[in-house]
Parts: sequence; C-alpha cells; structure tokens
Amino acid sequence: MAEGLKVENLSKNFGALEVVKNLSFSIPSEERRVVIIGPNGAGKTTLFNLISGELPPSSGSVLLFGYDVTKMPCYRRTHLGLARTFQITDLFPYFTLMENLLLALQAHDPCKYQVLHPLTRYGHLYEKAEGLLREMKLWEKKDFLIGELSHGETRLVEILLGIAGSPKILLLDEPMAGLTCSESIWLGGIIQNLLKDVTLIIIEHDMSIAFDLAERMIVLHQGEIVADGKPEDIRSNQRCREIYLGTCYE
Amino acid sequence: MKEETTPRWKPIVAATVGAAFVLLVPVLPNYAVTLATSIIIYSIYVSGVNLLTGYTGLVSLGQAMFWGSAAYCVAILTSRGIVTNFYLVAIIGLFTVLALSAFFGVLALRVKRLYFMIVTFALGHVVWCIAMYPMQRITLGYDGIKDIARPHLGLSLSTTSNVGFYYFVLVVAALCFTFLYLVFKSPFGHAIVGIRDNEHRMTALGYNTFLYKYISYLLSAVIAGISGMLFAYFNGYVNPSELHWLWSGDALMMMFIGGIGSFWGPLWGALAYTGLRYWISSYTMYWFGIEGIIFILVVLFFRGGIAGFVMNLERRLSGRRAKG
Repeated sequence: MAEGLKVENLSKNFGALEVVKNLSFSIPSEERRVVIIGPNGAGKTTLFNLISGELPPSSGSVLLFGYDVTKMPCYRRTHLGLARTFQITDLFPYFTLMENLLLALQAHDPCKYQVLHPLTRYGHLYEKAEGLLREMKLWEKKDFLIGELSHGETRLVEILLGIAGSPKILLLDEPMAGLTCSESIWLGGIIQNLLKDVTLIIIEHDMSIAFDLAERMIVLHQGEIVADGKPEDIRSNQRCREIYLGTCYE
Repeated sequence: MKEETTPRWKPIVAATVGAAFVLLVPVLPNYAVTLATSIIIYSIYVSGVNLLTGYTGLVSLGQAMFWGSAAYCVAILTSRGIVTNFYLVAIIGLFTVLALSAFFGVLALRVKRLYFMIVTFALGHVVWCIAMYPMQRITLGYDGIKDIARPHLGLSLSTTSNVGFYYFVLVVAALCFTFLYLVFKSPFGHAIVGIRDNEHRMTALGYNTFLYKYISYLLSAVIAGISGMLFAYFNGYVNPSELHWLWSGDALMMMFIGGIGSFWGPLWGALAYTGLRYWISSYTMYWFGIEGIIFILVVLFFRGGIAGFVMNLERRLSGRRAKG
C-alpha cells in the first residue's frame, strides 16, 4: 500500500501539560474516510496542527507520502498535497466568495508571484472556480461577501478552500461545527459524495455522522489512542464506550 | 473589494483633473508650482507606505530611512561632483535602498504586528544615528548637505526651472502609480491583501507569506527611495530629518488622512497634509497641534480618510440618481 500519512511517536507538551502523548499511526493513501473522535481535550485539533505544521512537535515525526515533513513549514506541506479546514471558520471577510476561492486556487498556480499581469488574465483559474462553485450550488452567490453568507454556506466554503488545491489528504476539523441537524446531514452528504478520491481525515463530534462517514475510526483520549479500527469494532469496544460514549463503571 | 460599476462621469472627472495637473502648472505662480511638486513627491512616498501598510498590513516606522538614504546618496554624490550622471546616481541610490531593505527586511519580518513596527522604528533610528555621528564627515551632521544641482536628463526637458522639474516629477509619479496599479490588480496584489486579512489561513492555503511580505517590503522601500531622490534634487538640500522616524510617522499620517488601502489615498493625503501645513502655518506657529487635531478627527470620524469619504459621497450621489 502506498504511503499516505504516517505519524511516529508524536508528542506535544504545552509546558507541563502533555496534550499529545507518543502517538503512532499510519493512514495509507488508499484509505478514504478516517474519523477521529474523542472527548473535549483529547488532543484532536492539536494533532491536526502537528500534522499540518502549524505547531512544531515536542518530539516524534510526521511523514507525508514517504517524506519526513516534521521540520517542513506549513505552506510546503500544502504543496505536497495536504490541505486542512478549520474548526472556527477562518476565511477572508473582505473578499467576495469568488475572490476567496481564487486566492485558494492561485496558491497552486505558477502565476502566484506574478506582479505585473492582472489576475483577470488567468482565465483558467476563473473557470476552475466556476466549476467548483456550480458543483456546490454556490455560483449565484459568487459576488457575496463572506459575511453575507449563511453559517452553513461558510462551512461549505471552508471545505471548498481546502479542496481547491486538489489535495491528496484533507484534514477536516469539525466540518459540521455549529450547524443545525439538517444542515449537518446536507453537508455530510456533500462530503460523502464529492471527495471520492481524497483521503479525508475528519474530526467529528456528532456520533451518528461520525459512524455514517467512517471507514476507519481512531479514538483519542487524553492524548493517547484508545482504539483504532472499523466503526463496528469501535461501537462494540468496551473501553471506548466507557470513556466516550458515556457508559458508567459498574 | 467588490467591483462596482463605474459611473459615466467618473472618467471625465479623472481626465479633467489629470489635464489640470499637466496644463495648469505653467500659468501658476512659482510658489504653487513648488507646492504641487512637493505634493506629488510626497504622494509617491506615501503610495509605497500604502503598499506596505494599507495592502500588506505591515505598519512600519522605518520608511524614512529609505527615503533619507536615497536622498543622501544623491546629495553626497552630486554636491561634491563625485558622480554627475543623473542615471548613474539614480541606479546607485536605488541599489543602496535595495541593499538596505533586503538586509533590514530579513531582520524586521522575523516578528509580527507591533513588534515589526518597533523593529523598523529601531532600525530607522540606528540609521539616523549612524548618519548623524559616525558618518558626520560625509553627511555633515545637523548642517546637512546643500548645493545639490538639478539633474541633467539628457532629454529636451530641462529640470532647472521649477516647471520643468515639475513635469519630470509628474512623469516619474505616473510610472510609479501605474506600476502600483498593476501590482494591486495582479495575483501578487490579491495575495498580499489576503495576508493582511488572514495570514494564518494564507499559510494553510500554501503561500510562503514571508516571501510575499518581503517582496512588498522591498518594493515599498524602492518607491520610498525614488521619492527621496526626487526630493533631494527638488529641495537642493538634505538634512538628517529626512532620515528621522518622525518622517516615517508623517507618511503614516498622510496615508490615514488620504485613506488607508485606497489607490488614490496617498495623493489625497499628500495634498491635504501639504496644503493644510502651508495654509495653517501662515496663520499660526502652532500648526503642529492643529495637524494633530485634524489627524485625530480623521481617525475617529473618517476611518476611510478622504478617499473613503469621496467614495461614500459618490455612492450616495449615484444612489440618488438611480432612484430619481
């Protein structure tokens, strides 16, 4: 199996607080839907920050497609084929939807350092943006500022910016955060259907969505992996039920 | 950055103002010509600051060191007749500024926001101190360097008269503004505004944000250098206040008054700043204080500066016309 993401003995301390403790796992690039669950403070977002390069690990290493990227800055990991979205919507509020998307697209185009030619000259970027927006049924709102979109739409734009660079691995940090139940189902459907050839690693709190999406589940608790396996195994794993699903000790 | 349809009268107004700049000057009295020249030189300087601060989001208190060092290059080289060819002086001046900014940019851009401002301030002050004391023999300290002759362009345009020099400055300004216009419309311009608004996300999208900020810093330094050289030739005299951080602060003030992050803001700002200073100082010696009060009023009530105010007015006028 081809190498996708591999994490070896990864640890992260904030002072005396150990947030991620000696984690090791690997996700081959053939795997499509990996869901990471765990109670608050389990270290899920910190793990994402370590993988994407926003935080340097205290020890251990991160390998991406066979390359050791532990010391590689965030933007270069993006060019290897890793993208991420954020738990708290993190877009460009003074740009329109179209301009947000163009910003994400031109990051992967040789024109990005062009100083003297206007952006409008690069028609292929606009075509690609139009394609993505039509696919997501957001084309009518291309000239809206981000603040004029609904919360559900901004969550979708988060994902759009993530997939704009055609990544091989996409980290989705709670894509459904703050959505109503029906919106979650709608966005879950989009995630399920549109990104068939991308390895998605998803942090999710809503159990029903997590079990719907997952082909593999990793359960984190206090910075450690408690369980790692198929959703049905996780569902029946006694330890997981205790710490996560809320069954009391008898 | 929403695109708006341009009203039909706008290009007409722009053409009229442009024509006034070109045609009216020979019939103006001499003091008005020098005033107009300094306004245009300042607007070039401020447009560089606007690129760095208004568009890239980096607040620098060290732009005067680029303006000043380029001005000193001109002063030192021409007043003693070391280099008399204008184009050679210009190239030496630009390379000096480029070298300075290439070095200082690496230092200053290691830190962000407030700390960036403090580092640029400190670096600027170091340059000022070096010019004042260790290099006093060359820069003549507080006395400054005088007798800077106007440049010989080798063209039919003579810059010895104020009107001739005005046209020279106008051409350079047009080139600088055209260049900046292209930059702001380009993918690079799109990216620096993205960095201003959300640097964190830009990194995640795959941008080497340091490189963008660095290029922006170099460009703004070169533009400050161009304006500084024009000023040295225009004024015929350079002293250490050209290097002082107060002049960096003045640039920020002009940018705010004109409208931060607006393309024509620097021109408005330089116009208001120079005009007000000229006008108020003819009534009272406390013009500094009045300038401060105006600045406070602008920051409190006209966040978008003059450019923002004009844009609002425009929107209201065209809105009314659409209804009527």
